[in-house]
Amino acid sequence: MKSVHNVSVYTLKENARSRSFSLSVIFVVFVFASAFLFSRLSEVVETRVIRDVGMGAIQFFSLLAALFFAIKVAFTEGANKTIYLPLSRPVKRWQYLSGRFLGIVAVVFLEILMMGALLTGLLLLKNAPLDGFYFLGYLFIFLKIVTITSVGILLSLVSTSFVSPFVFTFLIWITGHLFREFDYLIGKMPSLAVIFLKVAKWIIPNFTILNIPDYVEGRFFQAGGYLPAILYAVFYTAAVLVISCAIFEKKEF
Amino acid sequence: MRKIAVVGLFFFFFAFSVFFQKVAESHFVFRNTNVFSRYFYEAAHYQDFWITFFGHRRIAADVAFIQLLQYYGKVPEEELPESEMGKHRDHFLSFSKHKRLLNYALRCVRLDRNFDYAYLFSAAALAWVQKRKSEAVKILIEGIEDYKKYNEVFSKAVLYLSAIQVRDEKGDVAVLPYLEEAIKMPDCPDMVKNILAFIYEKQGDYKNASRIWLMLVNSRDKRYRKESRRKLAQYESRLPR
Repeated sequence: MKSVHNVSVYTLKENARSRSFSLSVIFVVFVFASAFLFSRLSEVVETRVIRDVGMGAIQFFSLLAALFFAIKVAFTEGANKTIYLPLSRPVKRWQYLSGRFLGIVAVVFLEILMMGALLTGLLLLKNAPLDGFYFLGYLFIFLKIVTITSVGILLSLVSTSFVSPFVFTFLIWITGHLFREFDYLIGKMPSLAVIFLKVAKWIIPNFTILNIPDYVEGRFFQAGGYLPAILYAVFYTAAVLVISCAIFEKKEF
Repeated sequence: MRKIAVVGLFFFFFAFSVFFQKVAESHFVFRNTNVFSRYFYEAAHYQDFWITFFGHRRIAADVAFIQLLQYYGKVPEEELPESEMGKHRDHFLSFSKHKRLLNYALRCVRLDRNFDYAYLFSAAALAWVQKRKSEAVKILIEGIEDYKKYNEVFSKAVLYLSAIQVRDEKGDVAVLPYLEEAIKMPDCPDMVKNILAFIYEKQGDYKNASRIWLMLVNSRDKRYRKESRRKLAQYESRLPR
């Protein structure tokens, strides 16, 4: 466990200093400024726009940063052979990958915390009503990013180019958000396609149930579904990490 | 041995993820217009699909609403006859018809059904500024119809209000379809069934009246029980065997 901890602390420090981390913060400041501009147009809905654009930006930039870090860990380091150094030490491969993953998760957590504090400050300045649901939205953004990070790592491990894990992770991100939309088509599909869709729902992360910031005031989601949704994200991530570790054990660099 | 442990661990986590996904979904009601439905694509713009695909329906609706405000905030010269072009640039909005206002409004609300302000703003603009009552009613009914699906109390209240209004305006016969709908609900008061039976009786429709009285034969209220049995006995001679 100590090795996992050490690797994760190293990853946290390494990524916190990286340019992509500070770039995302600058971008979010820029988006917040544009949110204020939008709000000048709409007046009454200004808090709604600031909140939506702000949370959307937090999610998007956290996603970008997490993917960069994930692909760097699982692909770039292998391609550049810099992975030899840590692996020559008494650290097991699964420990190294788990530590790296936890480090990325910690970075994403810090990033969401910082940007969230900034957005909350802005909303408070605008006297926006902030309920528990708003803060729950951050937890679910974090869970979504953790889930997609694990998928990004897995795809990077099986990819042979830098671009393909990016593209495939984005495709999975989009598909994961469309599961409820696909439900509409189920009645119009042949039974084989329905079975395929149902199995795909188990394999591809279901972001529909984690997309809380898009379902304001809990009208979509009853409170009883929060804990199962959190546990779903945790178990799904763990399952993907197990496969990733198994592949990483066998991978030759 | 190690391989079996890894596979076992994977299936353990995977099975739980499938289970919890199912449980979470059972608490989830998707309350938006489906992106693949006709209602969505007949109102949406190209950009709306992309933003929705990335899981940001609310942002797409916000952008659509800002575009609605931009459209409504100026005189759309392209909608004016050639002779009027350039004349109304500084005039008040009511000079222009803003023909596409309803389309903009439908786009907003079909992107995000929770966008109450978009319903109210566009309905007010259409009804009181543009004097297009039918379009204002259309957008409000769209909201009501959608909300009815997910809120039983609201749905019943709307039904009863409609019945009250229709009975006042058009009389007893016009209210029949509303009350027929009302008695289908399991918690419909016996009083409503009683009223419906009397309306049918008044119309001379004994077949339907007896159908409703039959529903009251086992009513918990003694008066309705008694009345229904009396009425059914009374109708016996009038109905064909």
